[in-house]
Amino acid sequence: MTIDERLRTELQMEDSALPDLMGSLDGTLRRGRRLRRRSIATVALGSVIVAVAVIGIVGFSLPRLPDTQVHTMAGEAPGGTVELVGVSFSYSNRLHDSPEVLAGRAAPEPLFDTSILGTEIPLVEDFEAVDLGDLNGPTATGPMLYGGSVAETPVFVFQGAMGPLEEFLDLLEDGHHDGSLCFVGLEAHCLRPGERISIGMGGTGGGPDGVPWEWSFDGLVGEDVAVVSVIVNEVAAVWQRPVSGLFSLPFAGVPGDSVSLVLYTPDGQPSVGYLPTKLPD
Amino acid sequence: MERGLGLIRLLSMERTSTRAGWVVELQPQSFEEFYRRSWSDVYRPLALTLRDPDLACESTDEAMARAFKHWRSVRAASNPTGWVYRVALNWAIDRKRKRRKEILRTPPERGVWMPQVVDVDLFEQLSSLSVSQRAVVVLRVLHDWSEADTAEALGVPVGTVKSRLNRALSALARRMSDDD
Repeated sequence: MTIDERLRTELQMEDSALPDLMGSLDGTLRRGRRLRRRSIATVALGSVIVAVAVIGIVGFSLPRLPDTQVHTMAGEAPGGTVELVGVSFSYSNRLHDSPEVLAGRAAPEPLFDTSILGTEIPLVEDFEAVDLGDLNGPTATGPMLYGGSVAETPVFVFQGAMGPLEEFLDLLEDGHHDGSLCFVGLEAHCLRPGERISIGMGGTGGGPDGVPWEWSFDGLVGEDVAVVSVIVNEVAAVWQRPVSGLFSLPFAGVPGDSVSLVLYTPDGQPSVGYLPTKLPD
Repeated sequence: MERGLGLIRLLSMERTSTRAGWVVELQPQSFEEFYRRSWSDVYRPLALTLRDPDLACESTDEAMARAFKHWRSVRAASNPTGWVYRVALNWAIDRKRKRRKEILRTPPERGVWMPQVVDVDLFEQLSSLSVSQRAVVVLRVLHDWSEADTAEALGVPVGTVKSRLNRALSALARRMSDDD
């Protein structure tokens, strides 16, 4: 008997001895929905409490908001500002009363040619993507500001009972991802007071068919910022208009790629930059 | 923003993002169908590779959840099962690394899986291979995955699959001849 034949026989025996374990489709779908959520945090000024942009919360259940309700209420409430841990956001309308869900306000219209910035990845107002009944995370202690959805991933910001940014990220990694790589290599940067930008990746092991993993820049910037733009290997890749300063901008990249983020004022002046950094392994 | 406009923008994003490489065209298969059909195809070779059915089960579910997250891209891949296998294997290796650290502090609760086997020596020789070598052996010898599919699933070039398999078989042959 050749080594191959002996091996095959041996492995067949081992295979037949495997316990017939079965995964849980429902559990996998729940886990997958949690992974779809995107988080952003901003540190409270001089405080350990944070405002967090996210996704979902256990025990914090909101009904899905029908479009008609959104637009009806938009006419009733002219909007205003809301303060979350020292950061003021303007909102366009009040989407829900208890707890409050506010719709963010679009960034100023860019007055320059954005075609040079690559592909637009907009935050879209898409409540179909918001599954508030399956939330898992911190409990909001104040109004929730809804920025929009990116590829069905809703982006919120709200004040929660969280620690500072680094602690929040540890909690997310250990509490929800058990040390796996949902936010591996994440770095957080403060550009100006009240602004926070982070970079993270959505998974481990590489994408299908050689497609790089989806990374993302997430953050809060001043409401004077009209456009955020990601540059990969010195080529403008994608851009987005923030909503109430909130943005979530996915891009394709592989470890070693040089990426940077540029913020533009409405007249096209690059206001603040995120220095080029190499995507980690 | 009107609801209709939002939908148009989302569709537009999918189409244009294809150029950026992170979203590809939709395929008709549902995730639920894929899960039911492929779960065991990932779990079984993974369990033999890891020598740990419980960890294989756990990591298969984790990888399936990530497949659900990236379903637009994954279902368009030429070998979605291989994609899930790779994510599951990477995740399991990461867990094993963490577990080693935990073992330094507390004894492991989980025992070593020891199935009924034909040849105890060969089982031990297989166990002595690295995980990456054993992965190639299990996929190529037992499950008859092609070199290309194996390479894609492991995220390595085809040449690496060939060399790993050759080295593994040579090592096994050498050890068994030494034992004889």
